[in-house]
Formats: sequence, structure tokens, C-alpha cells
Amino acid sequence: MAARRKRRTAADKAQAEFVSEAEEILERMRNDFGALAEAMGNGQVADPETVNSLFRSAHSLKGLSGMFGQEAMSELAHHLEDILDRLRMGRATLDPEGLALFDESVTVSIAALEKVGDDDASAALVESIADIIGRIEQWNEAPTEVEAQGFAVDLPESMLRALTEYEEHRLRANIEQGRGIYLVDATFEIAAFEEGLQEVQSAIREVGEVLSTLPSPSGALASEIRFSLLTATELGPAAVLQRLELGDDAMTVARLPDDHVDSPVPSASTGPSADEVGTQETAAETGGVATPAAADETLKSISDTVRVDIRKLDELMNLVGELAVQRGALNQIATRLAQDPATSRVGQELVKVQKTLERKLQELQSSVLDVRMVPLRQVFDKLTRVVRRLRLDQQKEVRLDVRGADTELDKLIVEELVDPLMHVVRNAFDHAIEPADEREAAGKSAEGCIQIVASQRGNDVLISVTDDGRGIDVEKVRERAIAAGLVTDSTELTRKETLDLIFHPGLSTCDEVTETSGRGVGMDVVRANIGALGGMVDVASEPGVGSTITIVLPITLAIIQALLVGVGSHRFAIPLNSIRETLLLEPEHLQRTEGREMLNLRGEALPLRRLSEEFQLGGPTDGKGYVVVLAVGDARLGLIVDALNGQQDTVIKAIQGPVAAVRGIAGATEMGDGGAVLVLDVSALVEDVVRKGEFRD
Amino acid sequence: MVEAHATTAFDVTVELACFGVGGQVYGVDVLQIREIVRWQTVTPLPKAPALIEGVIDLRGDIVPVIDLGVALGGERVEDTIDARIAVLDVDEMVFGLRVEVAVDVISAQASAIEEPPALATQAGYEAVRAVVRREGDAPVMVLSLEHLLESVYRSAREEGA
Repeated sequence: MAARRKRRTAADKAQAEFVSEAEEILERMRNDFGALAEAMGNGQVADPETVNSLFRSAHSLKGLSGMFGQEAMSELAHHLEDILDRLRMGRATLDPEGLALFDESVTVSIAALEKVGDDDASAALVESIADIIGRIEQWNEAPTEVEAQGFAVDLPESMLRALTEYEEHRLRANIEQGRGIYLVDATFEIAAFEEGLQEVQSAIREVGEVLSTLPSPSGALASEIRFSLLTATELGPAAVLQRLELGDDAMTVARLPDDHVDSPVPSASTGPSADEVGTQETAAETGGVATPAAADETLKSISDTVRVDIRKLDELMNLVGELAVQRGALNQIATRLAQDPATSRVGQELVKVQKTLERKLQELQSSVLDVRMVPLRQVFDKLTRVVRRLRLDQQKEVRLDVRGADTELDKLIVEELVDPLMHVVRNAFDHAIEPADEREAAGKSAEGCIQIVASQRGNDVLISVTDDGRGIDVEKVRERAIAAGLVTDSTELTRKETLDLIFHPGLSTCDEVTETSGRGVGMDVVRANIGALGGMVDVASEPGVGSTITIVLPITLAIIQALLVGVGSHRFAIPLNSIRETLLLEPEHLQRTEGREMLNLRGEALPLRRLSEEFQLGGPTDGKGYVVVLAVGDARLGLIVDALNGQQDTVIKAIQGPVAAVRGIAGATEMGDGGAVLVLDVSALVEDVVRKGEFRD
Repeated sequence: MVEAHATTAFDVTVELACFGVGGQVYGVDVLQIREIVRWQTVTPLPKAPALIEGVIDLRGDIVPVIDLGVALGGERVEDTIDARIAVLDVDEMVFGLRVEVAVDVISAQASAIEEPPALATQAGYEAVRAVVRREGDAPVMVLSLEHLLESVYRSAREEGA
């Protein structure tokens, strides 16, 4: 914590902000390019919205990098913007070579971002940027024939004149695709037209494209305003009306007749130049009223979110926690006052106020928690990209099917989840999915499928990665485990126990190590990383059918429910999500093997640890107590404590200063009475037991 | 570390916060002191380096505490009404130093700061880097907090071995 809070200079801060903002833009561009590539691969027409979004991103990046003196990047973004503008205007067509150039541009830019501030490394990157700009210019010069043609619909002359060059291009493109062109006329109260217009626009966007929104000069009362929305869709007029749910006569839909007679191309140069993003000017010229929805499509839409440093949220969370502690103190005073006859009246009032305060504090707490939550989409998008790349590189047909991308998790957990999840997916891609011929021979579809499903279950999030590959060869796992000396020939293992061996350090079921499988990082690291987040990993596999890796994670680490336990005069907190159950210690159920205590728990041997011995706290080791059964993955450990003192919401804090991590302690949390209570690091405690070989699984 | 507050060689003044432990007076450069708080419950930290007494909750920050008496090789500081915890910040490393009493803050002229006497460099006194002699008053032993931290790390290593 101390290191993370190091003060940064203003310049560093500005630079960090630039990097994070530029990274966001580049990530978005990479996704959009990916979508374009996908569409092109499927022989579809590029979605104009994607091209527009790319154009806006390039434009933002150009401005941003220029502002921060990143000349090379700004120059590159300028070239991208230029091409993208031609693309969206239909003045250029995209080919695989161009797409590859785009992809490389983004990759080089991200590499350059990582080196911002490192002058030596940047210099080399500036050269590679210059190189790619050169190639873009070359590509750009290759002539792309786009012939001018007339419109196949009968559009009022006044409307045609009002269209911008871009709108004209979209109109033409839609007609080429054989979509119907409609004119949707809608009348709104001036006072509330923005909302109504946006509603209509988004309804149309669900079924087609809004080509242009123009204020209509005629037929409206003074208190009303009328808009004509030029719309392209594949639906018939009745269906369009139905989709717009038009009961009232404030709206009409008319299909424009195709006249199939090429009318001369209206003067394309009357519209605003392509450099101006958006369609505002035209609207203003013709109707004198700016269309708010069109404004939504400009650069503005990028900044409707606030980027917040997660540390600031940590601080907020701490403050809320401290407020809760103060509230506890207030409650004690109120109760005392209420009990004293002399002050009972005012005391009772204070108790009431205090109750309200408590409720509000809880709301505050959940709001702050809510802000920390981010959808898993961020991670899944990365995975989708990786799989797309792997598919190209390895010529292996694998589809990634992602569900539940809206499931939310604490930002910090999402960050830490990327690597383990990536590893699991790469494992599935590399090892689980068979080559196409092998799949077909086994009667499966040639294309393999990796399915990722995320869902929320109470305070946990469940993520499963399922492949339809060959499944894990249990015999092979066993052979390797024997070779590695983990088990002996005579060890009897159930199928499940054998499968679990893949989480053991240094065991990989694939004979050769490939680039993508992440050399040296195995499933043991996945389990350790997930365990560090307070989560669990499990595996299930069916030979020939496939495997499923299931990851269970707590939604947040910021506030955890903890069980308070007492050992002598010491208090400790144990995160509730790693507790399976608590039992009364019954000495007659204790067994001793090799000097270690075990508990017979429903027929299974549960290794035991006395917390007082573990932490050398002294005090008697016999007598009454409780067993807290801890679980990390499938490993279990019974922790013997003297007393159970109830549950509490706690904010775990790192111990500051010259204390390097103390094994078995995850941090500390403050209590209402002013003292600090140590929070146990359950995964470390359980891991120590597993390492000593007491837990066999 | 004793830092000079003025730059000219003749006019160097150092402000030292003075604490009493085991009948001696120890000084710490005020620039390294964040605050001085009253005694409060110290939660023992199991498996921590021997010199770490435990942690306190300092308005939400969990800060480790070192007992100056033990750190200097003497007795533990007792819980009396005068006892204090000096919260120190050494290069952003925050920790508490438990002392018997906070005496006062003195300004020492550079000329009054001497090398520690031979006695002070014996066992337990390595952390004393200078001595300020005062007329009619006990000398102030100037502590090197860096040295103190060093011995915390050393005790951690010895235990780990």
C-alpha cells in the first residue's frame, strides 16, 4: 500500500493519464478492427457504425497524442483518420492488406505507449511508426475505383440538398444493398422534443439505419417541431410502424418510391467537408434547429464516462469503513444516554437518528462498491482477440462463445483474472481442441468451440470455460504424476483425484510445449492466482467430449464478510467465503497420526491446526473449542479456535511500514473499539498444510 | 538522519523531538515525525520480526509498532499515563515507536552535536549516531532511524533462517 501511494509529480500524472486514455482508445480501435475483419471474413458489408467509431477514435487519438507531444503517434493517427474518412465516405474500399496495416498500426501504437517516458526505447519505436506510415501511404495511393452513381429513389430536392457528403454516401450504400428507404415524419412538443426524437432514433436503429435527421419546415404548430428522418431498413412499412409503436398520428412513415431512373448526382460538394464530424451544420442551415441526436454521434459521446484511479476508490472505501466505526461509537453513547432516566428522551432520539445514519451508511457503502464494479466484458474482449489471433496464426478452426459478459466484478479482481483466464483458454485452444481431421474422424464438427459462461451466484461470480475437445486423459495424468514422483504405482486415486493432479506444480498433460500455452506457467499457477483472490478452481472432464474449468470468485475484495474468532485474548478475522462450516470441537473425534491431529469429519480425515500453536500464542492447547473448516479449492483444513465471536463486514487493509508480508496474515481490519484485528490468509494456511502432504487429493 | 535546516555552515540548527526511555533521553529529527499519539492497544503480530511489537489502528491505517526499549536492548516500555507512540515516516516507511515519555523539542546548534562516546557504540547503542550535550541537562542521544529499521530487518532474517 505504501508503495502504491507514492506521490507522483504532476508531469508523471499527466503522462499516466495520457497513457491510460490513449490505451482505452487503442483498445476500442482494436476491437472495431477485429469486428471489421470478422465481417469481411464472413463476406458481409462493414457496419458503418464501426467505421464511424474507428474514425472518431483515430480523430481523438490524433488530438490527444498531439497535445502530449507524441508527434509520431499523432502523425500515424492522422493517416488512419484520413483513410477511415475515405472508407466511411465510400471513397475507398477495405482489403485484407489495409486491415493488416490497421492492426499493425494499433499494435505499434500500444507498444509505443508502453515506452512513453523511456526515451531510448521510444526512438526505436518512432522509426517503426515512420515505417508503417510509409506503407499506409503506399496502400492509400493504390487506386480504388468507386464510381459515382445516381439515386434510385425519389427524394425531394430540398432534402437532397441538405444531405452531407457522408449521408449521401450512406444513402447510396443502403440502396445498393437493396434496403427500403423511408421518410419518417414525427412531430414533437418543442419543450420536450429532444427526448422524443432520441427515442424514435434509437427505435429505428434497432431495425435499420438513420441516414439523416432534418427539421421539417412545414405543417407544425408554433409549439411543435417536426422532423423528417431519412431511414433505411429491410422491413416493410407496416413492420416499421409497428416497431416504432406509433399509435398516434404525430408520426407518419412513407416509403420513397424507387424510380430506377438515374437522376443526376446532386452537387456533392454542397455539404460540409468531410473533416467536420457530424451533421450539425446542415441541420442548422435548413431548419435553424440543431438536432441533439446527431450531436450524440460526434466526438462528445466518448467522454460520457469518468475515469477514476482505483486508489481513489480504495480511499473512499476506507472512509466509509471509518464512518461505520464512528457510527458504532455513536450508537454506544446513544444507548447509554437512553438508559439513563435523566437523559432517556434525548437518548432515544439519538438512537433513532443513529439508525437512519446506519441505513444511509449502508447505502453509501453499496454505492461505492457499485462504482468499483466493471463488467467481465473487458476481459472477455481480450480473450476474443487472442483467440482470433491464435486462429489466424495456427490455422486452427476454433470458435469462442462468450456468455454473461455483463456479469460484474470488482475492478481489482478483473485485473488479476486476465492472466489465469487467458491461460485456461489457451490451454483449451492448444491442447484440448483436436485438429480438424481428428475431430471429423470422431464425428464432431470440424470447428472446435470454447465456451465461456459467467454468472453471479449470491456474493460469488462463477466463470466456466468449456471446450468440446478430446478431454483430459486421466491415464496420462497418472503416468506423469508417477513419473514426477507425486504418487506411486500403488496409490489408489479416484478419477476426480487424478484430474485434480493437473493443478499440481510441474505437471502438464501435453508432451510438447508450444508458444501459446505459456511456457512454464501451469494450472498450479492458475489455482494459486485464483486462490490469492479468495477464489477456487475446479476441473471436470469427459474423454472425447471435453473439459470444463470452473472458477468461483468473490464479487469484491474491498468489503468482506468475516467471522471473528478468539484465541486466548487474541482476536482474528477469517473471510467468510473460505469457511465451509464451523463445528464444536469434540475431543473424542480427534485422531493423532504422525504427531498431527486429524478430525474424522463424516468419514473423511480433516487435517487440523490449532491457531494458538500456528501463531505461537501460548495458552492451553486442550479443552473446549471450535473447529472452523476452511476450504481453498478442494483442499480443506480445520482450524481450532477458542471462541466464535460473530460476523462482521470488514475492510481488509495491508499492514504498512517495515513489516514484509507475514505468512498467514492477509492484513488487518479496524474494529469499533479502536483496536486492530488481524485477518487470516486462508489460502496460505491451507497451502502450508497441503505442502506438508497432509492433505492428499 | 540528522538534517540541517539551514545551509550556511555557521548557522545550522537541527530540531530534535526528545523521548525518554530507560532513564536516557533520545532525539529524533522532527522532520521524520508524523505525529505523536497516546498509548493505545497494540495487536500482537504473530510470526513478525522480534522487534515488531504488533500493529495499531491509526485512524484506519494499520501501522506496525517498535518498542524503543526493546530495540535498544533494554526493557519493554510500560503502559503508563505518560507513554506515547511516535509515528515516524522514514522515506515513506511508516511505523510507530513506543516510548516512555515525550519530553520536548530542542533546537541544537551544529557545534553542540558530537560523535557518540565510545560507550554508546557498544551493544544496544548502535542506533545512536550522535550526542547533543546540554548545560545542566541530560545529553540527548540522536537516533538513526535507518539503523533501527535495519535491525528490524535483521531480526526478521534471523528468524527466517
